Amino acid sequence: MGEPTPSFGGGGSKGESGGDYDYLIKFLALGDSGVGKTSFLFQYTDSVFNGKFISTVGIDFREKRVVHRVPGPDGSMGRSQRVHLQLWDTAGQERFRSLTTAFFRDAMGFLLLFDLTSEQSFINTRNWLTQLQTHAYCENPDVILCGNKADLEDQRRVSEDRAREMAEKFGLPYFETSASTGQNVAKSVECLLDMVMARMERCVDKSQLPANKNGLNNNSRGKGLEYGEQPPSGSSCPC
Amino acid sequence: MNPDFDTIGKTFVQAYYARFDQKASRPEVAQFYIPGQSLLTFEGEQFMGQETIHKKLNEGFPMGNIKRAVTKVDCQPTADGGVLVFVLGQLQSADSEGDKAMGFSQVFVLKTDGNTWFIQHDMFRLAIHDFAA
Repeated sequence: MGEPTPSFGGGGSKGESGGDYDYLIKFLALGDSGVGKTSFLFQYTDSVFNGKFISTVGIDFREKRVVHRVPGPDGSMGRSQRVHLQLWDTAGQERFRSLTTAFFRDAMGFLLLFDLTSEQSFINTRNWLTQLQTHAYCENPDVILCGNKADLEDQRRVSEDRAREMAEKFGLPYFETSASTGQNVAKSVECLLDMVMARMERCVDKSQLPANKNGLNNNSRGKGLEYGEQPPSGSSCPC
Repeated sequence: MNPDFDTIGKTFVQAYYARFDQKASRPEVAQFYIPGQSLLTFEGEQFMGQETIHKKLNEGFPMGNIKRAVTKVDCQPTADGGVLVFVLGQLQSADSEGDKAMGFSQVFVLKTDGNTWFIQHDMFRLAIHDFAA
């Protein structure tokens, strides 16, 4: 999975935002300044599509087409779905602490990054998780934790064990990534996509779509989500 | 009302950002604020007094050197002899490649003790329209 689909329409970027896909999925990259969010997304989308920057909202987004294969009930290769992935990046405004909570709400999955060479960025992932629980569309959205800059082994300040322990505590898949070498970059994004797609499948199966997004907030807190039962990291995620 | 309001406002803006935009000299902007009195609203967060503001703008602001373009500065004399300054501009991290230019606006109310000008009020916002509730 994960190979880019051939471009549609032949008009260069024209097909990018056209309607020829089955799902539009939005991910948001989070984490302290300098952990490598932009480079990470660049590595994932490089040479596929250019990034776009909306200066008035202070958000950068990159797009990529992928094909997601749904495993059949007996483990066989199931249907394939064309997914248009939008990867949102806060592009530096987090330095000013003006959290764009509106984008938290719109994202379906989150890439939470820290820098393996910065202990503080690791400690701060807890704050980011708290922010997520408050502002995301539900209390336990799909999140993956990435310890980035894994190529800088000699400068490492956070051990893999410690990071895994923390990830386990919060029920998050953990990856050691390097935006520089590409290590685990595609794998981690694909894992998040699997989680989000599995959640959507569960919604569809149970007809528990968030029918009225605007009216749900009264009972969405404290009760968990409307999206059906857990566990959130279902069996479809290979990590 | 002070007839030199425009010169005072624009000179101040230059002097202030010249210090603020270099990480090394940013601590010096503390001298513009009045101990116990000055008010800063930074991205909606309130700070009062020179020391608190100093802390916010240094330890509490993880930004290195800044590239800044001041687009417009509007000034008015206030009734009590001070100067009201409105700034519109753009800024960008000078040392982090992924960061993009962002618009900002900032308002200052300056007051004088007869010799020196100080910041009585300071409000800063990035021009980001995220429609956050």
